Amino acid sequence: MTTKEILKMTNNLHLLYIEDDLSMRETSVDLFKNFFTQITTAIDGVEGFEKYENGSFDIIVTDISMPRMDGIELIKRIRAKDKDIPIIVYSAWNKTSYMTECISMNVDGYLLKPMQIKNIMEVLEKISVRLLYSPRIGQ
Amino acid sequence: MIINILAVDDVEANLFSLEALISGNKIGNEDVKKVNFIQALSGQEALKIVLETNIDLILLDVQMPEMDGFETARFLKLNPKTKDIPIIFLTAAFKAEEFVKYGYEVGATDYFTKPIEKYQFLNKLNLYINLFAKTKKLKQAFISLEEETKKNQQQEKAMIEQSRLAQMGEMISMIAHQWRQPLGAIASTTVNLQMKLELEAFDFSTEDGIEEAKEYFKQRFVNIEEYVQSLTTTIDDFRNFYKPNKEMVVTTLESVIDKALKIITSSLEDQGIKLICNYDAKDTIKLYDNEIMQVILNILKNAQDNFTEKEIKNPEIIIITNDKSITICDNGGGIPGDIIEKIFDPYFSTKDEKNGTGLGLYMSKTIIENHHNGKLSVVNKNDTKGRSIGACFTIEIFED
Repeated sequence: MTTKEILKMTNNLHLLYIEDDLSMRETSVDLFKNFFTQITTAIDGVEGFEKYENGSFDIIVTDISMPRMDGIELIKRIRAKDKDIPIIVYSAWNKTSYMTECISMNVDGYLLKPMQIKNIMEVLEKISVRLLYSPRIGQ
Repeated sequence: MIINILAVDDVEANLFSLEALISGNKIGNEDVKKVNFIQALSGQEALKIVLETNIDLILLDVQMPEMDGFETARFLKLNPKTKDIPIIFLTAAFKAEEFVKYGYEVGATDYFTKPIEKYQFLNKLNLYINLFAKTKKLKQAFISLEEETKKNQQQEKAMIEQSRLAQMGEMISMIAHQWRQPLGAIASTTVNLQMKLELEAFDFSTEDGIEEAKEYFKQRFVNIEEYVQSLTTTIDDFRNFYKPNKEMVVTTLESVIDKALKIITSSLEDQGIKLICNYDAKDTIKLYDNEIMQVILNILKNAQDNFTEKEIKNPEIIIITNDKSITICDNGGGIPGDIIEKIFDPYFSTKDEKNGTGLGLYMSKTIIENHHNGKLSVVNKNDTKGRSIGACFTIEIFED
């Protein structure tokens, strides 16, 4: 898929982005604006889950290590409610145990900090292809 | 041990009877396993032997052709290697007082005239042998003591080096934590700017489009510059920490703790560890600030590692300063009673080999109690039911 084709897919998606660090959150939102028109942010797992329950989202991007509730716990809770919603982990990998947990929870993609353009395009393409063949928007 | 006796006489028969006399001798010293009887037929031969063999006692005939006993003795006394070997003169001809006197002057330990009074001679000989045995034993003890001291010094040096390396490793991981966010922010920003160009987000064909792009890029570059500045500050903090303290500085406990926290806070925050600081020591104090920082970091790092290992929920560290002391308490469950006495011992570690050198607290105690006039101690903090909540380390600095 070309970048523009990917964008066509992602543009309609409502993103919920969870990240505890302010500068990381601001710069990433800046970047995500290229792909998504609707972005909601949360500062930790607790706020993220609250917003998830009270809103309607098409895709989740979350950090792993956060205060109060970490990304692993958040994904567990979201997956308990929705097996299909695309979830992307956006984190600096410091523990391999997280990786295996993420795989078992059927995470759709991994973005490593610091971000590389190739990495984000691959992850978004994979999700776009999936959504193209099994659209869940409007379901 | 073996005692080597060198007998020097130009008459072989004399050597033979001397050997017979000595070999029938009972020494009665259990340290002396054997007495070797070595023979030389001239002064020259004797000088050659003493250079090749460790001789403990020389029985020297006075009257010999070419080089006589006195001359041989003089040569022996000239050489630093042989000057301390005791010499007993044995002579039949040189009985006169003046010869005896001369014999002592050239360095004789004893002077026997022939015919030798057998028991007196053997008794003297045994006395000497016992004396040599004792001296030798003392010398060996001294040498092994010296070796032991040297080994200890080397070990101490290796220990300091090892703990420094371990701490450097920890520092690098702390830097990595502190750099993660600014690096992440820089990366997101640059990826964003690349996307803007690739997606042709700005209309470069109009003045307004160009102006808008300029403004957008400029703002992002300013942000990047700020993140780079924060990376630089981190490195400066760490570099300052690694500068060796040559002299004590006048500072406050609060500022030393804050400097340490600057280095470790983001690593603690990443793990969701709550930090409570309660400063009550406003007086200035004289100390090696980087060394005290090292101790504080060591205690905090131990608390952090323990939280991870025991998967403690709601981990919390409280730092309190009071007059001339710093107390650092955690809620990590405390230190088991059977090891609390050992935690300051060198090479004692509860962590696995990869993560613990067992030197951190040992070095910390050395810093507080040897480099400073202070005390580093630990107690477990208990709840009302006597269960251990966590460990409390106290650093006290007494000013001279």
